[in-house]
Amino acid sequence: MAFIDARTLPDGHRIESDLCIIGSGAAGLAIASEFKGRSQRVVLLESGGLEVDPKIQALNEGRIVGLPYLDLRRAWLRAFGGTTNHWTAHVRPLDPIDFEPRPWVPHSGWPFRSAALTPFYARAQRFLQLPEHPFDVEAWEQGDRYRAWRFEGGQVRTLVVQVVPIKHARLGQVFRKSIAADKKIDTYLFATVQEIEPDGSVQRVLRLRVATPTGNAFTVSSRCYVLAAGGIENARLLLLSSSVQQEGLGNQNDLVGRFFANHPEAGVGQLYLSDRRLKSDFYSGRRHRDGSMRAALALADGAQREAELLNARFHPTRWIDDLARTWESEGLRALRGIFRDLTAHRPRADLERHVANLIVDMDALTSAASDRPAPHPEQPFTRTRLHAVVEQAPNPDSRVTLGDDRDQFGQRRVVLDWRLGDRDSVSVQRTMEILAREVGAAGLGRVRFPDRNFRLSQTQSYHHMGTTRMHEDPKQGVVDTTCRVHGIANLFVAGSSVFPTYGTANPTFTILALAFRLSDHLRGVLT
Amino acid sequence: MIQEMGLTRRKVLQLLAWIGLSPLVRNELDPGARAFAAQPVLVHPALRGFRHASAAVVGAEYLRRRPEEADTSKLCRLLALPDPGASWESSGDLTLHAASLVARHRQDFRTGRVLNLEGWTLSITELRLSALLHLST
Repeated sequence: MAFIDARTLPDGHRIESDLCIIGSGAAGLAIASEFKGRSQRVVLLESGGLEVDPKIQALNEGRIVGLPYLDLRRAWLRAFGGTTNHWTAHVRPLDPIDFEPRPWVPHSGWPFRSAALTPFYARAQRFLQLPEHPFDVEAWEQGDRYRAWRFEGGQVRTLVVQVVPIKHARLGQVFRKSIAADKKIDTYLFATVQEIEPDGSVQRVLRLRVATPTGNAFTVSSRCYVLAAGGIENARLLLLSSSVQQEGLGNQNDLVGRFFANHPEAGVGQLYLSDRRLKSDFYSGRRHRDGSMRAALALADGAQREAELLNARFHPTRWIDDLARTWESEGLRALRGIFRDLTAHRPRADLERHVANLIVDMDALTSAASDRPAPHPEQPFTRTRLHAVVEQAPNPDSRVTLGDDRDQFGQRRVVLDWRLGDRDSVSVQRTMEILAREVGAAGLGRVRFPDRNFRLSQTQSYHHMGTTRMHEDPKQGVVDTTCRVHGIANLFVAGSSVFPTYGTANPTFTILALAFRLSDHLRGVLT
Repeated sequence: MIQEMGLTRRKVLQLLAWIGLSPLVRNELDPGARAFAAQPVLVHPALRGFRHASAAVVGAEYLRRRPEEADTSKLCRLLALPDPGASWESSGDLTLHAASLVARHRQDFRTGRVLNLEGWTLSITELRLSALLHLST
């Protein structure tokens, strides 16, 4: 059936289906697409319309009480396709170490290892129409005049972040026709869920209460429900669903909304290359016949274990790359952050020149000794900024709660208290020290990490994670390993809110992998 | 100043040659070094003028932090270079000295023998070489 404008439904209308998906973003569309052509009736509820509307986005507004955060009105999008409507489309799977419980990172680890997601990452890859080997450094080097830098000793690695072409990344546009054409999938636009209503014993969800901007309301009853509304809204909807369970659905252990995480980002230093032929182009964004990619430097899993560090990746970037990314994403706020990074702790100009000369001379001596010709530039200033994307340690005090302000439906708005711990910043400092040593040992140049009092405090990305975390034990997680809300037989959560540990990879690729994994489970449940 | 430190001009030139930062000088001194200096890297004309000055500035910064090393003999000993008082003939193969310095320099990074200078992570070996140049020029 085609899309249905919920504003045209009669007040009190009742809808029944086998599966109801709340949210038509990456997770919701991936699950819905897995039910195309099948016998089960699927209802897809979208709070917005086909296009992003500022009036609808105002539903996102909330209060920020912790670290400075991005504009919540843009932090997730209420329109068909969800936040993929402005997604920068950088994808990468989580690293194997991200799934492991690490004794030095409290609350870390997934209930399964990375191999369990491998087949689902492959499906996510096909879903996004990515090349066959999208994360293989050597594969990207083939046919490219630029190369990844080589490090000795295996402490530092180069990793590839794939950039999905926009025409494949705007999932609402990609799947609009096929979802609309499916006879068993009904998509309701302008349908904002108000409450998930369980039975009296809070063991099953009975129905959803849904409202539209024009004032009419309706209900949806299904055999199963998937909450796929985003990392903040998933928690909010569970907390708002308090008519039977006062603390909110799934919140019997006070975990819903806790462990809110994002990827802190910062310009952390500069890399002075000692040979101009050591181009950073492989890292700063390449367009190939098969697609586009960026690369970053990171510590190998073993090095992280040995030094007991959190994960972090470092993008060598040029000023122009920063500027381009800024206009794509967050605008002036991020631009101010970049200016601050560039101007803070700027080295004395004369000393910078002298050190750069020394670095080039010294590494040339190294090159000469190993018989590698290394023509020197006259001005040996090949400097790139190191932009860090950092793993935040799970933090129960970093959380989403409900405030007293109300939205246009009379529902309580969110209060976002994003917090970072000392561990997060100290880990970056220690990682930079290792990176600096490895860059020097490899004869690539030198790293400058100017701020000894470095503290992470901001992000440039909408990576909301952790608020309905996955754990086998209901006292430590909101959902179980199948993404089902503990204690409720027919309510599932999709999206990055289930991530118990976050890594540094942009989350959408893992969101999709988990969505395909959940789809398989639901197909089994619903047959 | 050079005379105050007990260094003759020839010994200064030898030192510069040993540490690989004055290829032009080295080329004049020793035919064995000539081949080494034939690397295009080391004879780039644009580098002859200011490289010593740069290393000297960095060296001065280093010695400001470690004044106890402000002694050419001590620095040579720490760098396993022939003492400036030794005769040139006994100083051994220049290329070997250079290779030894390179090995030490890389080993510094591997083993964490580094110093943070205004945010830069630099090897102790390259800083001592710079300090030697600072004292020798």
